[in-house]
Amino acid sequence: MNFENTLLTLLILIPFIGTLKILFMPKTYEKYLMWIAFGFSVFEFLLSLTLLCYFDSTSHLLQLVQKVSWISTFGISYFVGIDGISLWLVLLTTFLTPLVIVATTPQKHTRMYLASFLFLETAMIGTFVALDLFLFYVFWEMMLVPMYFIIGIWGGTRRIYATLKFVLFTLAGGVLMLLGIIFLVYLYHDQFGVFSASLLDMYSLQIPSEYGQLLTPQNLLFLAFTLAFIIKVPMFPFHTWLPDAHVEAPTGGSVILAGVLLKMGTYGYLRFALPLFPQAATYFTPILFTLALIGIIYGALLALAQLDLKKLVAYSSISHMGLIMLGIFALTPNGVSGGIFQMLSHGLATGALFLMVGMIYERRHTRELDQFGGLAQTMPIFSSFLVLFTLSSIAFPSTNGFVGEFLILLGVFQNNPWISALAATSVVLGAYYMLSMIQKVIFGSIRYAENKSLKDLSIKEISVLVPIVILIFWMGLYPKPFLSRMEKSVDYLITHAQNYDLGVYEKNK
Amino acid sequence: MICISPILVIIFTSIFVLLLDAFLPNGDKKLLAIITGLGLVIAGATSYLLWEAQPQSLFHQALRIDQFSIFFNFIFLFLTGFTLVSALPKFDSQHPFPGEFFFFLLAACSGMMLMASSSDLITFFMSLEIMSLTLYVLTGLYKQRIQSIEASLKYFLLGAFSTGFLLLGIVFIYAATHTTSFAAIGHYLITSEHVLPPIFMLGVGLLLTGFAFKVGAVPFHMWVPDVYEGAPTVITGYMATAVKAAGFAVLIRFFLVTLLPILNSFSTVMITITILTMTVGNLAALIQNNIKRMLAYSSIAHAGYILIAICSANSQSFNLSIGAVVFYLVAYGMMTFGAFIVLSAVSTHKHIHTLKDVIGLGFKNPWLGASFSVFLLSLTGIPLTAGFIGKFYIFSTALKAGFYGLALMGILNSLLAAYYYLRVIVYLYMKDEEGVLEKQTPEFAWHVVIGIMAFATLYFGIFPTPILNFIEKAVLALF
Repeated sequence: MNFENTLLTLLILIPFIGTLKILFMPKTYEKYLMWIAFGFSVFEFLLSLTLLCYFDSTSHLLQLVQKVSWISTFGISYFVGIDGISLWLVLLTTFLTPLVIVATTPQKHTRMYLASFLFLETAMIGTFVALDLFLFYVFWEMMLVPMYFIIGIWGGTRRIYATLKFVLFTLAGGVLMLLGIIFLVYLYHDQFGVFSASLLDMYSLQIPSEYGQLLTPQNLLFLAFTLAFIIKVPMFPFHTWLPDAHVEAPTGGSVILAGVLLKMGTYGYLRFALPLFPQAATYFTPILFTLALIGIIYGALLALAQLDLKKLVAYSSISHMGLIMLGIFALTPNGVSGGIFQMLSHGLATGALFLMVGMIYERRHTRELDQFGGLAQTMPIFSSFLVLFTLSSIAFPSTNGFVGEFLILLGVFQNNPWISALAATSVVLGAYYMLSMIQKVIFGSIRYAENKSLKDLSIKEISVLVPIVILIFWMGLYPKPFLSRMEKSVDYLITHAQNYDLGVYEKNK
Repeated sequence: MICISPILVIIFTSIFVLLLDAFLPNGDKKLLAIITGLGLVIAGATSYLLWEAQPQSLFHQALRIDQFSIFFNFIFLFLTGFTLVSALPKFDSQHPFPGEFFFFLLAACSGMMLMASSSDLITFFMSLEIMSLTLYVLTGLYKQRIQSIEASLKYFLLGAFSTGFLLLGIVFIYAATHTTSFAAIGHYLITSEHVLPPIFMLGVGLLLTGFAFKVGAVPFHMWVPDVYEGAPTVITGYMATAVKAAGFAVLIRFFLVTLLPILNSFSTVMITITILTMTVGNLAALIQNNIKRMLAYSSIAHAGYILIAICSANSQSFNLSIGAVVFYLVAYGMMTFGAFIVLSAVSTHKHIHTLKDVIGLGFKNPWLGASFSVFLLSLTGIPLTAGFIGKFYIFSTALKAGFYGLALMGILNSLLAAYYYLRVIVYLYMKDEEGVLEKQTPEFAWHVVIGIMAFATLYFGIFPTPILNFIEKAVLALF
């Protein structure tokens, strides 16, 4: 057992230790709680950067794996590892958490807020690195608990409705996936005679499927998993929890929700649904394409009609996530790479937009678009940041959003030019609603007296936003380091879509 | 003979504390509590020593002591012990429990232990009566409170009625088989080549009714909410967990093991009861504002989940199914008992009835609130809790046996249940209004019990393997 193999476990454990530390801190240290949590999350981020050193981008295999038997009765093990698909998502998580902690920690019930976010970080990283179906499910559901508290305690006026809706929607998808997982474990037992819940073993499973038949085990299993993921993404028509959750959640909750949690759905397709059930995935691709397209256009149209800043960003998420789904199901190297890349871009840009909405809400106590106007005069720094993030969100060239959307559209175009053309309308619509938002909020004349005395961003707020800006342009101008690390895994996924069988990476081999 | 020593210890202790209470000057209950505790510890220690022993049948196959019954002994002894500790603060309160409490508690425990070991319908019936009669009294322990008396009477009348069914069922079975021994009935079923006489089936049906009553399965559940609400909360916790465990222990021994050859003929009835139990329990719990009633209905629903595993027992999934039942009983025992004790702890000064009464508990009393949340999340079936492993086990059994519909019903029901469990957490943490709860530190004894239960719920949710190994051994000893 060397450092490499325990790295992921450390990444899972450190935030958890942080949670305990925060919970058990004596009352006299109340003032420093935020800095302790920040310290833990920054350490976590620095540690996660070492993943880049140990990660071998020339291999599609699963790296840095650790496997320990857990519940042997059902062949369940603690099994973690990463490949090019999950690497960046882990880093996205560890990158966003410290920013959220430093930018959004409230005065009320601080201890529990910080503990929730650190615990959430454990669950999120766990979800991205779990290679055992049972373990994945455990992390997947574990994440609901802190999120339930975050929305429910620090949210807006309708927070209780929103948080219950969020949890029940996600649970509804999750429980069917659990049945699917149990079924797979028994199927494996039937075919190989031993119990195992390891994902790698599942890849070698022959799941009964008949061409053109609807009610085959493979199709049903695919649907069970799909329901869980589709709710999480969320895709039309299961998106209704998202606007509620986003609008009611506190700023930090929205950032993590949009930045990381939604990506779990799309990640689930790449890691589980596509490779495990290839025939079913092909069978349902037209339906998923349609839903993604509806989501893209419908989300954009809804965003267009919003008068509330936060709702606008929330609906734009639905549109963007639809585009990511489209890219993934195009099953071309460009589409999938673009999908993963866009997950990161969307996480950064939308996360940043939510942060900005939170900042202006703190000052003005409203999010109504009509209440603003002329902020460029009173808050120049705020306005410049807002414009930058908007550019990323509407895929302006030289920002990361452009790279992602371009790759996705390119990838989809290779096989389905018409769908690509339809999806491209979202770019137009996106530019329309985002830019009209910009116009209403920061340009024009100051119509309300309250807007005259608004303070511009503080040093703390600027220092939270600057790292995101740097990443946005880095990824936009020089995306190669990001794309090259996911390339092998994506290629393997596409070339071996029908006989996916990942192995474990061993050094010097 | 040595192998019934745990039961004997409990019986003798119970008689001893009863006599001692009569001769001791009024008010001194500490000594009784200590002796009761000592009895439980000795019984536990002897049970532990017997764990490795060979299964034995005693008294002409009236009792069977094997790992299965010893495992259940542990469940009963632990729950009785925790009930004892949680009842201690009650003796200092305005309306103290009477001294007979100790006797009845131990007597109920001995009844349950006998029940889990019984391998004859007569022994089973007698032990059931020992348990039930003492519980009727325990329910009415608060002589000043009208609800307590009402609950006791209701429980007694309906219980007596169901006992009638049981007895009649035993008579019919005896008429058909000329025996009351489980082993002999099993032998009869294997060897009889003809169609079974209707009277036998009728007898089994009546027995099933009696069992359904004891475990609170729909449509024989009417007593559950009223009795659970009226009884002193500590006793409710005991009833909801230990009594249910005892009922299911016999259900396993008699229905699953003895009647295995004819299980199929009852599957339609069983599945109907299972689905009804889950759905009715959950739907009724959904609309409760009284937390105790809500937990009562939820305990009905949980009996339904356990019945899923019982329904899906067939020749391939047999061990799995019994294992699932036993594990779920353990998990359910921890979380439900813990939840009731939390309720008991918060209503020391002011009686807590409704959801509104617990507003803000999570921040006023962080440990109590956190433990309550753990129990509720475990009842919901969120991972990292014992409740999740239990549900996983049960649904695995159903899928293994091919009961996909039943598994789906169970899953949908647990989703339904999530709503009302999570709603309690809303009141604990998320409401704006000032609650009526005062900031107070509950008694040390409750802290200990709740802490242990919460810890165990999490521990067995993360590391279930040790207990799964024990259960595996217990299940293998059944044959």
